[in-house]
Amino acid sequence: MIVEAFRLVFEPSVLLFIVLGVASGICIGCLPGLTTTMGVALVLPLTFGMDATHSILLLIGVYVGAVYGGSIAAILLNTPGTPASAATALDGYKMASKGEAGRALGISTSSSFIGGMISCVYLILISPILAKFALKFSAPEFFMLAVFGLCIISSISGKSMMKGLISGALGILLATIGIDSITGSMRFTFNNMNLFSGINFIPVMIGLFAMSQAFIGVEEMKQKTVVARAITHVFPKRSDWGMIVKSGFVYGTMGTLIGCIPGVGADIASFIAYGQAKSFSKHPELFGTGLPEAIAAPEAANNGVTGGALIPMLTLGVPGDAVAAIMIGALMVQGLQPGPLLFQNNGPIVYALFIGCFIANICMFVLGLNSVRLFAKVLSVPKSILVPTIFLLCFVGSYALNNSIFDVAVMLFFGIVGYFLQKTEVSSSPVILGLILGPMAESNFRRALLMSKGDYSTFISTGISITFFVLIIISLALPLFQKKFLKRQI
Amino acid sequence: MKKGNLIFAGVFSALAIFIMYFAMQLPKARNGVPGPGYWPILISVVMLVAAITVGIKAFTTKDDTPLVLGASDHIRVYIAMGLLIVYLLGMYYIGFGIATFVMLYGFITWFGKYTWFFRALMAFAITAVVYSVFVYVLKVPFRFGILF
Amino acid sequence: MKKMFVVCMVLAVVAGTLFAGGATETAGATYPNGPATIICPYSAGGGSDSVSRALAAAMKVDFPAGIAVENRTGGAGSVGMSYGMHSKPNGQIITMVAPELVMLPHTGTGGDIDYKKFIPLAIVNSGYAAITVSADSPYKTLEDLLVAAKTKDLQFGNSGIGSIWHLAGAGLEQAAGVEFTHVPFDGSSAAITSLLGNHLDGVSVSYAEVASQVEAGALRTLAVLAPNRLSDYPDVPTAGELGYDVVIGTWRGYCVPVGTPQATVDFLTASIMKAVKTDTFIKFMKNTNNDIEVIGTAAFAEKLQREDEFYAKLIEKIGLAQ
Repeated sequence: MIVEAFRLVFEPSVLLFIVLGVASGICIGCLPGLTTTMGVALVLPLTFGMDATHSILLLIGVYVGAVYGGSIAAILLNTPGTPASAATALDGYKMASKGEAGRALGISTSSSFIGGMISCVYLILISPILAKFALKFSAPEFFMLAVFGLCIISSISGKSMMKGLISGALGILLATIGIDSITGSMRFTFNNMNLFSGINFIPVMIGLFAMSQAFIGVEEMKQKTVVARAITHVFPKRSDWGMIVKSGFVYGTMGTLIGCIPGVGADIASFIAYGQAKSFSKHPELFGTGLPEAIAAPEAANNGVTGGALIPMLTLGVPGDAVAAIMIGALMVQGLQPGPLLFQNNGPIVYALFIGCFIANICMFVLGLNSVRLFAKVLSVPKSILVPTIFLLCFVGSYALNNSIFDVAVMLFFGIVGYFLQKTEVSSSPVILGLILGPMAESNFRRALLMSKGDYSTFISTGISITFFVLIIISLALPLFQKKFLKRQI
Repeated sequence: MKKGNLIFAGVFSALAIFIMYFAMQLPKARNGVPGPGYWPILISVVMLVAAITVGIKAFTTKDDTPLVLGASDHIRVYIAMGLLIVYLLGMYYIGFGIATFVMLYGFITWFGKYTWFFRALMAFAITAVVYSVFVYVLKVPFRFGILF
Repeated sequence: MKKMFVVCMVLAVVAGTLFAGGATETAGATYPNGPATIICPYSAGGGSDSVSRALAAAMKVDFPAGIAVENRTGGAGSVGMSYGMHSKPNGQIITMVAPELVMLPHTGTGGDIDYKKFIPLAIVNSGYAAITVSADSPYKTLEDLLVAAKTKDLQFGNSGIGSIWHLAGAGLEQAAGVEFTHVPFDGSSAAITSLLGNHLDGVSVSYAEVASQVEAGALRTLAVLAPNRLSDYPDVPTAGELGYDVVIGTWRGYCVPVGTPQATVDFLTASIMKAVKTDTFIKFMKNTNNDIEVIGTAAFAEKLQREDEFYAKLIEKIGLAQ
């Protein structure tokens, strides 16, 4: 069976498709507004005419490439290409502005690679166990996970914790716009049909990050750029490798675990990894200033999700995230039924998929390291041309998402809001975190109470939810202890 | 920053109160399951408390770096914001191609020091590339406006 | 400055004509005189999207200038359907519609959508609700489940509040005179996952969505809310056979706005009717667990009216009406 799988994959045309998939994935991921899901959905119709191996491996290539590609724009332009790299922008852009863009890109590429590879290993070796773990998640566990994620607001609020809290709350409140998912009543929709299903968070993200960054560019237009941003040391230095490998293993594992839980994706994983990296760091106060491990952790985690998300899809036939949902559709078009019987009925295809995952990650590593110089050319474009181009890309990117001019208006509005938030030293990342995790927290909070008939003890009724409860307490208390400890040392 | 923080605190307190007012009118809890207003109210309370804290801190701390929002650099940003709103309307009512070309040509002229030919060429090239990639490769329909 | 302005205008016009060349309609009186677009009100990669794309591919022979699918999502489909409803009635924009067209207006979440403002062409596919429980559930038949529901609190997962599968669960509830706790999820697959983890007593989503789990022996379908037994799974009884008169399912139909010339309507209907008989479409639908059920213009119009009344009553009864 495995021999047959190798024969399926190591066909020149299949390998070419993986390379093409990864390359186009990187480009899609790079552009703000073109998300991973959208990239895979765009490629999907092309696969209808292909055979199963070609089609699924092309999609996997796009998936792996796009999750990684988002970090390039995040590092070079402080403009996360996909929500999954919003956490990478925090330190990646800071490191790039110190003149170490090459190093930042190298770290993100190699930790993405290790994270992705680790998740493939888990996918092959222990996916049935992980799938069982994933099924244990019900509403109370999802709620606790979301709250645990929201605790990371304290790690990413920048100078003022209170301002971070306000911006996180703003994100959560924005997410409540729309039809309430539990009772069906309208909330803050003001009878505007575009608001019925809520504000899409991608245009908000493009506005807060890309657009407001472009406005800052307009403000600094007359200043001479001081740092000569030569791209050197793309391949990480030996001193960085230790940290990269360690982060790759730890946060790649974490990403896989988060990825295999249905409905939780790369965006959440990277924020949680960032928060954890900060909690366990020896110098948490340096986070946000361009720390290497602050780039490695979220990147390893978001690529770790790629393998994790495939686990419930292959073993249970349920999607781990939106991308896996599209892949299920792609497999079905080929006449393959993802689910418990897939291994029995179509073993070679499943093994081919495993091998393809490894190749896609290797491909991403090689292409990533080699194309970095090309992408970094962006930095040598004069501001007077770069800034208007970013304006344009923000507009078309948020339009392309859903062919909606309303989304463009939302983007522009939050671009303006984001500029003033930056001026008052408020970090925008908590808004994104709130937008992603707010709905998950709220709907599962109320769903859990619906299922338990209003009994609040449901939130600490299982092992997983108690574990999260403890983790929440630790992650809130740890910074306080660290402060005390540090003071004593001084 | 004192003034900035006070304005910031004011704006967000007002927003929190506004949301609470609206959320109060939503249906009440049923069978122990919190209603649709519960969560927004909870979060706005957090926001209000945090905003008030920022406000109080702004009063008690000595002023350090003043928040400047009126320098010529900032005026330029405000003009850019206004122009982009005009661009959005232009794109919607006139058409993507023309509005984009004019927007790019305008901004490049304003920000840079190039010959008119180079500016026009750049604006045209960027419009063409973005249009082709999005319409032909990504199949995004740019169908609006009376002209192109 | 003046020179610059002139140059800029000239270039803009040149750019305009250059690009517009690709998009202008090839002049001609008979339809199709240009590319057509199918508006899919649901997201790319989902079931509605893939059925629409397969249909578009099969209809391509009749559209020399091309026929594409465009996703306009939001508001459970109301955004896309409203967009299609307000488009020019020239046959260039075809809208995919689903039962939401006659459901959402009653829950007050449909914006301005109105089935009377559409000319129905044809329905190509339908999928009925299946009452499904976990394989190790104590309920072996629908009767067991409904008897238990009289004394116990059964939790039924669905794909969202006011969604078609919520109404399916509620419809069964009404027909059997029992009461379930309906637990809304974000989409069917989240509900199915929760059932697989034994956090629910059952789900009321479509058979196509649980088929792979049922075949693998992880879930068990007790009954389908269909008019006839499903051809893929003839062992499962319909609710009607068991004495509960309830038929609820989703369907995917195609419409054009009112005002479209009759010749265009006929052309499109004929094209769809031809497309659903092609081998590639049939194979695609079989692979993706979608049952082809073709309903022509007249019967489609009747169905819309009938379901509009049915959902109005049901939504009123379960207290979702606004």
